[in-house]
Amino acid sequence: MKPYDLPDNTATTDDVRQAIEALSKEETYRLRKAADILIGGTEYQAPLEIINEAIVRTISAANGESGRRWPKDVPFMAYMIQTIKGLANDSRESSAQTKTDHIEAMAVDGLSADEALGRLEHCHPDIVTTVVELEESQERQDRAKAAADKIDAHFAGDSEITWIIMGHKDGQSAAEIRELAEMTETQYSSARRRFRRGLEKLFPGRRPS
Amino acid sequence: MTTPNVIAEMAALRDAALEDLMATSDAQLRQEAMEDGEDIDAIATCVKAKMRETAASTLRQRLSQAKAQSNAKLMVQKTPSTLPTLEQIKQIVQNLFQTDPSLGLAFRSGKKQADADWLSLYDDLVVMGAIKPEDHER
Repeated sequence: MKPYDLPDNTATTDDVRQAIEALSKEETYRLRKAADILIGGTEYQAPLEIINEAIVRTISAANGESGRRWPKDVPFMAYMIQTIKGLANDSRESSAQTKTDHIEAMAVDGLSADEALGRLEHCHPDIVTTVVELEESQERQDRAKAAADKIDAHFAGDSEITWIIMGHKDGQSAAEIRELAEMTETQYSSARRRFRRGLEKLFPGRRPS
Repeated sequence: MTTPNVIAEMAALRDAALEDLMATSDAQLRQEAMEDGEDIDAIATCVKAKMRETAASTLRQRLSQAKAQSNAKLMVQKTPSTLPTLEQIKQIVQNLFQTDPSLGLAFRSGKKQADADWLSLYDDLVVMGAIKPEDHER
């Protein structure tokens, strides 16, 4: 049964259950691997945890409650991966991070976030909490930096992968990376595969922040 | 402060890995699993079972919540001044069973029941929509 206030293309609970059943073994395995890649730096401890959360949100929305709506014209796999990605982003962008970003945005030229916090001390009702949140954010940055350094060191001997890492960090497209590194499409695909598989082995079980 | 945004850079690397995963063929994925000593069939079966179980339990939970809310509404509606008397309830149910014998079969024909059973039967038939309580208000 479809609740009356949902758009027509919203999947029903039956649609969601059928889509789960219809997943092939390869797709299910791929979904688990995608979740494994995406949970880095989140509150989720295991890929199944975030997959389950995506299912809970989807079923809730299909039942007319708050959650994540699956528009049936989007393939279920693509929808699930986008939902897992969204949940992972939400987790990383915790309230602590949002507040810290806000404080950093308030810092003016030549004034650090700490100094901005100092100026706010007179009027901020919970300055200790904010400082703790800022420290947590710094810790998260440090963890990400440590993971990034580990990746750089691990792939230092593979120039093609190094190009890929540098390019993606700089926000370049695959075509731009290929052009800069003078790689063919096949060389690029092969190097990107080595990168993914190397990454999986470098951080078994959990992906880097 | 203009330090590189390491978190954004790591997100870009995750996206690159994800892009590659999605571009990997099923056959290649099986090959990789074999090389890594992973049983793709066992993992997929386990993941799907968990997804199935989560979907079912979420739905059960939501239905249970909806039923509890519906019952709560019914309790509010059933004030002593509006609820029919027990004798009226027996009459209403028996008339309904005569009109629709299939309901009688479904609810043990309505004979020799305790008063509590009659009330419960009345509630069930109201929830089903077979009885409209406003038609029998006192």
